[in-house]
Amino acid sequence: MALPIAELQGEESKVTSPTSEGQRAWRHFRRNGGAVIALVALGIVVLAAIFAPWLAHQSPYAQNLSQALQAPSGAHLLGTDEYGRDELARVLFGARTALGTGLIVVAISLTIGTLWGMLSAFYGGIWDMVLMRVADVFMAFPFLLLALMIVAALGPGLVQAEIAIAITYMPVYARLVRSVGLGLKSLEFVQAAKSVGARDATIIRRHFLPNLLPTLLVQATLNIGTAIIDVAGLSFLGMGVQPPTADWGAMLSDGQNFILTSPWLVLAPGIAILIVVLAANLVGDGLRDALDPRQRHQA
Amino acid sequence: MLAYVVRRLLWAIPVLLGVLIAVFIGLHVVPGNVAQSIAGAHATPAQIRLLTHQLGLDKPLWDQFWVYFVQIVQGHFGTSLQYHNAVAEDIGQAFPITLQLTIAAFIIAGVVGVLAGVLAAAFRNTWLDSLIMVFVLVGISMPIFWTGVMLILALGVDFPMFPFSSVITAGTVLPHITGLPLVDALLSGNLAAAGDAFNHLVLPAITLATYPLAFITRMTRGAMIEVLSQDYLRTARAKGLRERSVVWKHALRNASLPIVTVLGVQVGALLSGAVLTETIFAIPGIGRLMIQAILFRDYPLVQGIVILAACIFVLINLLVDLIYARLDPRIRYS
Repeated sequence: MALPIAELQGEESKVTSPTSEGQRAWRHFRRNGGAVIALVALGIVVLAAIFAPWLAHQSPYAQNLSQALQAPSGAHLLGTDEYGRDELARVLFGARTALGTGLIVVAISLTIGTLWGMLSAFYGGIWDMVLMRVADVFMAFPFLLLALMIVAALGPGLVQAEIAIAITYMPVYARLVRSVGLGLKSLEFVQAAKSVGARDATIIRRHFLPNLLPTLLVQATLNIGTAIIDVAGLSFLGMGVQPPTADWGAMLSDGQNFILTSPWLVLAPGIAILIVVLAANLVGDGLRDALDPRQRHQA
Repeated sequence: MLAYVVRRLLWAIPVLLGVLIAVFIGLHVVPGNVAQSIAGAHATPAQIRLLTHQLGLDKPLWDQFWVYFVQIVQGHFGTSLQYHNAVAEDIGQAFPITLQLTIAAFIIAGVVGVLAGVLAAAFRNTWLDSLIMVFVLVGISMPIFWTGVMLILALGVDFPMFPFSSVITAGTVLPHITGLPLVDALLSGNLAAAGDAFNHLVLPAITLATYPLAFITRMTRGAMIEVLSQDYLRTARAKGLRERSVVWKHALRNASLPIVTVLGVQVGALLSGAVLTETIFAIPGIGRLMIQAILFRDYPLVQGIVILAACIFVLINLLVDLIYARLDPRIRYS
């Protein structure tokens, strides 16, 4: 997994108002054509997921065995699966599972990982040592094997898969937040706040979190894509979403059994995953370029 | 250098100890009643009590951990509940197959990735750079399981060039020398079997290599762009050195630090990707063994595989750190 360690922003950014910094970043982001198109594509997928019941003419769960494995046609634009279920309806409802999964995994890992890294950076000493060694242990596992071990313990299911993938992401956020936090800790405005007796919680809320936000925003956007792939991967292996829920990974796994006769069953969910992940990656790259000027020259 | 090696080796010990504790907690504490899971939903309370006693689960947690720890350190991973073999034996059979797959994928990803990254940086902002970066973006965004399925569809079904199931044609008998099918076929002088094993390896290796290849290309390009703008390379060009020599000899050598790091990190991605690749191509390696073990609730086998994978990953990271220190003496003295 990519870990874009965003470096500290310059002193200059600390004196500019957040609004002007946000406006400057937005201006840069808008100039990146690929990122803007990707943002629009993501927006369309989100709308498709929200309005799936209205866009799909049929239920994604309605079985009709007499219509099983039908090729794409006017009645079924993306064909039907082995139970005669409409593939388009399942792809549209699968967007709900995928986007929901991406957001939930990122929300869990971001919250706990940020807290983890913040404690490590802010309090240092024995806290830092212990918390970072725990992160080392988590990162000593190939991530999918760690996720599979957690699913083996909790049992297969969507929630379990989300928890498992979120756990594998947490140390990445912890390391990221710690690296930025350590730099912030030594800056004058934080030292000044400490010297006038500001409480730890106040320093974290007013000085650490706003300065961490750009870095976390970039990492979170990139992780939405990887989370969708990773949970879909667990579903592909039969460890995530369970039937009959519409899910792109599970659809690919089922479709593989009919690849010789009905290849459309693996095309539609695969292209759907590719579009969403590609868009999330492009938006993430665009945000990184816009929020961290030093990365721009490498793009 | 020796002091650094010793220091780094000692550092790996607490991490490995942490791995053992994490696996113990993961598989002994969280699931609640392990004996119930193993015995199944229809087991009687008496059967569960008996199994609980046999597995030592009625002892205090600390005693359980100590027994588990001593056994693992002595290399005893227990008996597979599914196959009734020693776990080490099952892993020993499956591991060389995964090793062959990951080595093939690593070679493809490393060689093609570094080459493409250097080319993209040397021809920055040209059509070649754009083309490579499009491939990178798609490679990073494509789920490995879809890549595999698409390759089966294109090169296995529509234009049948390569087989897409198992590691060798059924019925082929190979002597067990290394356990790696391609190597065993070559060592035994059976060229027909070697060709067959190679053909079986092509699609899974490309599938597994796609994501690391894209990632290595991107990182190599970034590192090379950074190095190519340095003053000493401007000097090299100014004194009349050919561009080819500047890029491949001077720049690549100095960009090698981040490239080595990313190569090491990608080994983890390969071990994870192997689980999916082996499932898609029905390859009887460690990944497929793990999935079957989870589905059967074969906890000793799951535990053995996870510990082995983590140990390999820790050792690879250790190796990367040592190469890193060898390449950059500043690290040894920091």
